[in-house]
Amino acid sequence: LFLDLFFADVQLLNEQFLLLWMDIFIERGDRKIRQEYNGTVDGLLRLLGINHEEVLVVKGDTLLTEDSALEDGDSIRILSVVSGG
Amino acid sequence: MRCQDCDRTAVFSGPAYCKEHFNSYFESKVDDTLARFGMAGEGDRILVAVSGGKDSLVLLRVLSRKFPNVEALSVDEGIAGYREVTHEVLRSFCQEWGITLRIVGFKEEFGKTLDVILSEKQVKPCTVCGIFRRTLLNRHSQGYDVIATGHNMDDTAQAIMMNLLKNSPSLLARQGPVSGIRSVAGLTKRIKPLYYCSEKEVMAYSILNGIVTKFIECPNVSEAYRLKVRDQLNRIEASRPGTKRRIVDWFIGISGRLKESEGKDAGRIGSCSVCGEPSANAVCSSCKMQEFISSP
Repeated sequence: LFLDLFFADVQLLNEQFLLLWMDIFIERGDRKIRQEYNGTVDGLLRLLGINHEEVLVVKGDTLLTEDSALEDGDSIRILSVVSGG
Repeated sequence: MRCQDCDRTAVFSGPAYCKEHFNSYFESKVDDTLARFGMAGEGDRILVAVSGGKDSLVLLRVLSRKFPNVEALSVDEGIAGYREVTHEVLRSFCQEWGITLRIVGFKEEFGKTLDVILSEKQVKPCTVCGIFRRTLLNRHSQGYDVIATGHNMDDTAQAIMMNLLKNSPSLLARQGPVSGIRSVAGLTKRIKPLYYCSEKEVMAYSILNGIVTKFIECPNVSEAYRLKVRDQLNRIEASRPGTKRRIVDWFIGISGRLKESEGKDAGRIGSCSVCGEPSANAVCSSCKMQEFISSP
């Protein structure tokens, strides 16, 4: 019983404090942020004030479309599309 | 979102395509542009002007798949902390794909790096850079049939809007997909095969095909008026998709009449009295600039 309670607590902690965050790397400005979020790529970009015309969003090696679902625990990169001059 | 041509998950929206169909769509678009404007033919020796950014690397990759005689030329302006990074990417890319690369520099050709020029003179960096780069690209493309640049649809839409806002019809007339086609000795035909590819499409092609670039902005870019126009156009495009394409289509529709009225096909090109290279004026912009940067 003690072990069961221990592992249940660990799982709860994990869910509450680790998986409730999304790791986001924003290439322009070289920023790393953690954000609590469940929704679409488009919604996240709006939340961050980023114009979807100027970026592509990548999860692992996969390009995501604007309607792709994101959830806490995901790790994504927001890559800049605009030329560097 | 599903691919509009199969059941796979889309990796790009607007239009929605999976990786395989996006690549076909993108490469067909470049092929159509090459054919529509008679840019290059089989057997042509093509020199691609490259910076190491995504546009030029994607262009180099797409053209080298289609044409066997493709080489790369890059200009080192001498911008500390910037060009070393993009050239590192470029060298590694050309080595991987077996493409011959030449790098020519402002210091070797004009005696000073851009950084030195800017520290000595009150001059807009993009003006010096634009004039000298154009000179070097033309000078080092002699013997090639065409020189291709990585200008994409966003670049073109921005240039059109900037020239409209500045009321510069003569500069506006130069924004076509092909230039330098008059039979002037020493002037290489210049082509823009990515003319109808948006910046976002170019970036997507780059990611999907493992063409690794590193995001780094030119330290002088913040001075460019283009930046403001670019941001405004991106805002409008986000709410009214297709805006950039309509701007470019509008320009193509009027470019014939515009060139005629601006005398761009009137054969006025002569030779610079100083360097002998093609010029519309008695002394070319490059020689004027060299005189200016050498003056005390």
